Amino acid sequence: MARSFGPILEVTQPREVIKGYPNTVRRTSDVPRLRRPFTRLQAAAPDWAKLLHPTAPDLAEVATGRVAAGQRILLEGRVLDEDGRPVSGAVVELWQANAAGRYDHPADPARAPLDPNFAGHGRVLTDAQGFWAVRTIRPGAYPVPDSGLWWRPAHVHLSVLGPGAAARLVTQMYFPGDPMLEWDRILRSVPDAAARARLVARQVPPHEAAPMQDAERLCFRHDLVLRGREATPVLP
Amino acid sequence: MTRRNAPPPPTAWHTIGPFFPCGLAAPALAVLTREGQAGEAIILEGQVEDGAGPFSNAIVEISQADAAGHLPGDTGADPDFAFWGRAATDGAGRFAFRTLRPGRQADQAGPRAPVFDVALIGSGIMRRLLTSFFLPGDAANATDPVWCAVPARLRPRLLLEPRAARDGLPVFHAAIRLKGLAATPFFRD
Repeated sequence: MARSFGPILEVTQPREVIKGYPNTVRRTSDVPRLRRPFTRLQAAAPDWAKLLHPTAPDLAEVATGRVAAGQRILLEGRVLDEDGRPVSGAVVELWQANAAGRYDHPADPARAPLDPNFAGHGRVLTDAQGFWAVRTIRPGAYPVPDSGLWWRPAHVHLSVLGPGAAARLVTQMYFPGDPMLEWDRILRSVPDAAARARLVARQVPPHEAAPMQDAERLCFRHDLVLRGREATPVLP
Repeated sequence: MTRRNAPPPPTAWHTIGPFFPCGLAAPALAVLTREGQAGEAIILEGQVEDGAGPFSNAIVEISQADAAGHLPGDTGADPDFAFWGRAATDGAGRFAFRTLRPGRQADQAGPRAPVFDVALIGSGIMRRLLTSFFLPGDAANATDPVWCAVPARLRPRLLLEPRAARDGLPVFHAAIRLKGLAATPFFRD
């Protein structure tokens, strides 16, 4: 069935220029974006499973016995479309800082220590019900360099490749009950409070975490909604 | 905002943060074609510049048709072609894909010229930047519905520039400028 892509509800998406985040200034175009007709190329998706190979689903144990430092967690959720239907065969990529708030990236200037047992990135596919799950550790918060004491709350970066380029999503997931969410400039760039709230995961009580139950990890559930819905089928 | 009990609208976009992990942008993802595949192999390269100069660790993702103009799922689509690629920019903001010259495509919006749809994400880009690049001198450009939707004075900025061949392959260069008088036109999502 064809997929349709309606207009975006602007208040649910972030403002592009953020005070105290110079890269948003030097990288936001001054020219208004152009409208273009919707083309098949925007709705076409390759066989993701063939192109993007899943990694081991446990980021917290790079090899047997090499366990990352930090609070071990299970992140799980569903990828849905705008009709609330599960999206199967989508790719969920994630990356994050380690428990001390440092990325395993050559350009990270943070003085926080690297963890030799934590690379902090992975890739999984959604199953037939749109479910994905990753074992990892809770990331640390970190100060934004050269920002005048602006800190990022603990967060996990998520990238989703689903049915077509128009359904692409790159976002971040936050942890519930974190007082830093109130003053995070990136989260606050999303005007709509409900849209912001949907970026915060829900902690699942251990007895509800089945069938993904795992006695050694706290469980957080987070759904991701892609653009697009199944269009009404055209009658022959 | 939305109806009670209605499914929620799409999740809010965010920047990739300071770094996109190297491990998720493996060089193999910038190779869309394999040796000996039907079609004309080309190198699609480019350079990304922001308001301060070269833009490194940007992620460029391309979508395109196969050599015959098929898209994934079409009858006759090339099973060995990737249709999608990802490349990270280096310290000078440069990126390169090895791919096939795309064919013309039928589309409900109008006949498509050979085209590369390009999406750019990176630190400080809160919502991806979308643009398209066309091949210079292709007669089909004039009737392409996206080309025609761009003001005529901006169209030259969406043309690839032929460069000297490399590894025996034709090279086409895309200049992507985020700011300034020659800024690349970007499309609404």
